[in-house]
Amino acid sequence: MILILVMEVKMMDNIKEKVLSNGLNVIAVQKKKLPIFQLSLVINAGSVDDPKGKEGLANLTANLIDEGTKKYNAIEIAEKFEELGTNLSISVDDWTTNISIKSLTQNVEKSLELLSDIILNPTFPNEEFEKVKKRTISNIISQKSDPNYVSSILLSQLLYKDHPLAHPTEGYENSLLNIKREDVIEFYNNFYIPNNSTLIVVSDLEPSKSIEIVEKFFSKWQKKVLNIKQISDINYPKGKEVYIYHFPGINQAFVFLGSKGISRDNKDFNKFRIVNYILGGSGFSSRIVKTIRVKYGYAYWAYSRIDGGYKRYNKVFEGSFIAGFSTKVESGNHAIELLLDEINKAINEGFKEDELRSAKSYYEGSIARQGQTYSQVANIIFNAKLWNLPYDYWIKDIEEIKKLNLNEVNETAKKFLPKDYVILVLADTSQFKFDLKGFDKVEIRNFKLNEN
Amino acid sequence: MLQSFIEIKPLDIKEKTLKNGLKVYVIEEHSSPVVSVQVWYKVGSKNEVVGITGSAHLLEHMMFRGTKEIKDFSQIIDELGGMDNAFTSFDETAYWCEIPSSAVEKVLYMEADRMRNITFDGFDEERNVVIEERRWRTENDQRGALWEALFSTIFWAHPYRNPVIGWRSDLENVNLEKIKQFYETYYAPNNAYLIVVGDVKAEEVFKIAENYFGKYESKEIPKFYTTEPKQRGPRRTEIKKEGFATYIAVAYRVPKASSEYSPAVSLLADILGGGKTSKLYKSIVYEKQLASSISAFYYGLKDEGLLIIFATLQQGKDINELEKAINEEIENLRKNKVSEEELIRAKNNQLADLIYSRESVVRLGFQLGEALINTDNPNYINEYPKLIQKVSKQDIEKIINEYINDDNKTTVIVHPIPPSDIQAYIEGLKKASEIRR
Repeated sequence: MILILVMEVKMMDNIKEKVLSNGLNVIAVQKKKLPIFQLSLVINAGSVDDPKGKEGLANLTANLIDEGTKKYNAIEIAEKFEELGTNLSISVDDWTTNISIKSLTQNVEKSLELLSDIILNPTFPNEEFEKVKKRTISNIISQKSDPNYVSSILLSQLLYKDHPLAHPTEGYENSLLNIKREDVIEFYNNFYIPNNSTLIVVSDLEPSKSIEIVEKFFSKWQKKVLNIKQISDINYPKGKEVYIYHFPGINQAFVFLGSKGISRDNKDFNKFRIVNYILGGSGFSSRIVKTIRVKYGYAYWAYSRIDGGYKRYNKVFEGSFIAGFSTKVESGNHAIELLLDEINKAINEGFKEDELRSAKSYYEGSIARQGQTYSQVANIIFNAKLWNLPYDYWIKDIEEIKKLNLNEVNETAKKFLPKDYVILVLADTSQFKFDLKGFDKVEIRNFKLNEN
Repeated sequence: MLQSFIEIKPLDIKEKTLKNGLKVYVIEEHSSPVVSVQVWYKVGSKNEVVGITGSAHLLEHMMFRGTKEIKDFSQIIDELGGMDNAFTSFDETAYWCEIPSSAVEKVLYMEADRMRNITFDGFDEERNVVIEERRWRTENDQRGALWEALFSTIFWAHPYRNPVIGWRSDLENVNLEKIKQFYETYYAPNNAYLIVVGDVKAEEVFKIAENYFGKYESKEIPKFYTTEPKQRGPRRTEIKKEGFATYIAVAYRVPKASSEYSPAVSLLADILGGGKTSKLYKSIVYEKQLASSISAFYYGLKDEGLLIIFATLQQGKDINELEKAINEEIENLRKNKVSEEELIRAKNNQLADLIYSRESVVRLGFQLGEALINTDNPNYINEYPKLIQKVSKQDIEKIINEYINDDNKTTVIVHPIPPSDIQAYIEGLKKASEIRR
């Protein structure tokens, strides 16, 4: 009973959905807590849509969207948002472009007038195009000495190889050099389309009122024929491969293991969440942290995580399983061994009853925290839309988790934890010598700055 | 009067001081069944001396290693469905969690327990964890190096000169006895604030707090008295560090957090470098394209305040040009001051952010905790928006005239040492500069 109370009274007060005549799918949630109007426009346009050789195009397009419209220049747009106390944020990930504002409800009309202007009427001025492109290249070069940044890029390359998921959203310096202003305009024309987007509002207004306001500013957005180019399937690693990248001057080894996971709509997804929770997903409660950090003092951070993949234009993409840590070079080999041991123990011996009980207890208790902020609510709603789930799917998930028994969780560990994987080690190889055995391939590579 | 249109409803902060000196604060917020419990100890790295730098932070880590009764604090928080963490800074060590409201009593019990009863088991392992943290956060990061150099250049006497995480040699050599002594000295009810925000009733919280914390005696806390002398002339440090970026920080000593001037300083910092509309961004990133990013912010501490400008040199550009451009902008500021539009925009921005931050019980608790550490006045979070509203152009000018000058300035530059593959690096630079034409 308490669950229903949480859902209906706490997370949101009301919800309404409408597909506008231009195909824009609008979902409005009422949450009366504060005089806030939060809007997220999610466009199916991510870095997977970057053309080969022009990696970074989706990101560059999004970062230019507020750099000039028919009415205002870049600085004027920023000043107008600031005058209203409205925060604009723009982000691009593998699959989507997300343009969001957080406004005070009293300013909603003025904020939306500006927002719709930048989305409907961007001019992508050449001068701004050149500036933003140069700045992006500069940032990429500056970050190339950051082992966190470099290892995340290398891991994606090893995990996804020639798949469009392999490249970083911001692209490479070489690929950015290939991008022309016309490419940005073409990308905008192809993807920034109302019938390719979802708009979620969370505010203290009545949902019908929110929809009315959205309609006022976004109904002029022209519907277009969407040319769907399906993204190819992901070929996750086969076998056990280790790649050691020489990165001089750092005094830690950065280690990541990546492999195939499962997708959100797999019937075992909630079981796999529990597997990951116990193994490495729950911070200090997890086996990986208890071993690598607490028992041996080898690392400040260590974890495993899973994602549910993605679904686009009715095609489902499998998610990944990733585990990692950074440790001083002397403990590198032993820590890798410990990580593999923990994964293998989970596969071969499974977990214990009290571990499952703790995990269930976590998920049950965590319900209370889910719908607290306006952006948390927007995320829940977006995921529901993405996977065609009811809006209370997150509560149903936990109902399901509460009923799981140890046997089915252990079977899931056996079935889905990685037997095939790729391991990335980023270290100064003049200090670090990899000496573990039992892999199909071990290769030492030089990290090249300009290698795409 | 340059009033912002944004009004902020005052928060109802209920407070009670226990006989042993523990100050308890409750903000009731019933929109979600969730609560943040926070304990803010009035001890940070500034209470350390050379030889034991990093102790406050190392002790913070030990607080998660268990007491006789509660072996694993975080695991219990997890089992309650919550999340928890802690942070250490110059002036404070704060422990926080976000939990379902049904778990408040249990967590208060656990916080009271670890105020006095930690076992210090696993000290050597945890010391190694912290050394790994230092490698990761500071030693492998050019910006970490910049931050360390900046504070040790600005402060000569005040222990703000030592990094919060501690110097490497101190971390490697400090013994358990010293950490225990630190705990015994500073972890006491009269040296802490207990903050509870969320779906609770204040009276009940006071009763529970009395039950669990009330049994402890207060302690005499050593008085902190070191004062940083007035700065007399510009200071400068340049370091080289493996990496590809060049960073510059320019800092001015300004009034401390509790000062009546701090709202004006924070608005000035926003006008100078708070995002795309700021003076520095417009001139240096947007027009001159000398930096790929620049920001300015007010860092208000209990004993001192700093206005810090931080910039990343755009690849292919000259650091001397960037430094010159920053100095020119400061000169312009001194000549042309700030406009009414700039001041109003900065006010709107800050006030709206205060409203947005009320979405989360944890963030609300952080606001209160910071106010308490700096001013010992819970109502400061209600007064602050009014102080922001009241700031006039003249107030800002006063700050500029009195504090933003060369005698008060410290400049730190981190130059890159490209780690390898110099040829590829140079090619990258060439490409980056090619597109300038």
